[in-house]
Amino acid sequence: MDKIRFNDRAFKAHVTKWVKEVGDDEFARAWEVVMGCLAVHAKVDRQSGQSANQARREAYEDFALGFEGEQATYSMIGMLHEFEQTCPVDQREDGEFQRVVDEAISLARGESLSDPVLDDPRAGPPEPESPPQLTVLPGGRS
Amino acid sequence: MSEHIQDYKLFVGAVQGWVEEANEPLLTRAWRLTRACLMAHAVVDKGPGQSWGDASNEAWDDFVVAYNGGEATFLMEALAQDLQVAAPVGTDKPLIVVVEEAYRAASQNPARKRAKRTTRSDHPFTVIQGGDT
Repeated sequence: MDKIRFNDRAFKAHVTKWVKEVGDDEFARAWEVVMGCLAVHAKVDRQSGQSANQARREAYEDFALGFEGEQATYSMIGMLHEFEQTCPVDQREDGEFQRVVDEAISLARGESLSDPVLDDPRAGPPEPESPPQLTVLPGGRS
Repeated sequence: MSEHIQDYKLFVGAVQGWVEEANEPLLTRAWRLTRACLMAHAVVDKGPGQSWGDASNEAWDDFVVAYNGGEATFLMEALAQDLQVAAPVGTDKPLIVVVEEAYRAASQNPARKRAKRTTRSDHPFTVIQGGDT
């Protein structure tokens, strides 16, 4: 089976949109720096015969793998930390940061986004679409 | 360190020479990454009205602070660490000395340097007539 190509553009677009929504200057700066440094990684690590697009996909995939705890270089880890630590506390502590990163990774891997309500353990059981119909069963004594 | 980098090109040139001499693929890669990531920092952090050179000087200044264990961003620290880890051991001149010398050379006040050059060209040495020793 062919490996699904990491869609760096989908990853970048999803994160960029959210960073804009958060509207924090320091966080936006960190994301700008990270994007610049990932472009640099792609350029420096591009193999002979490899396309620029493929090199960029790999750089973004390494960054994403770092979020999933994969081994990475100091500079890649530095980017992860810088991005995470500059995220405003509210968005970090309520799990929004992690959720958006997970979503971006899923989108980049061509997976559908998971349902945040169904996946949130605090949300409780899902509401049934229609109330169960109670019917009197014929026969039987208690 | 109370000085600041006044001419980042001097700093980069000095370290570049050492990296080329060392001729280690991992070090070369780390140095290329460092240079380009520092450029990215300068681009992002360039203030309105600030020159490209000044923004670069500031970025490299931050890098040296990080390299020397001072307060720095995670990424700056990481870039310094990547370079340090890739540097070969047992060389005549270790990276820390190279960075220190490069920093000193790049931190000289450019006005002072210009003044020195002007003095030399305006007042060439001449043979003074007379006098016995």
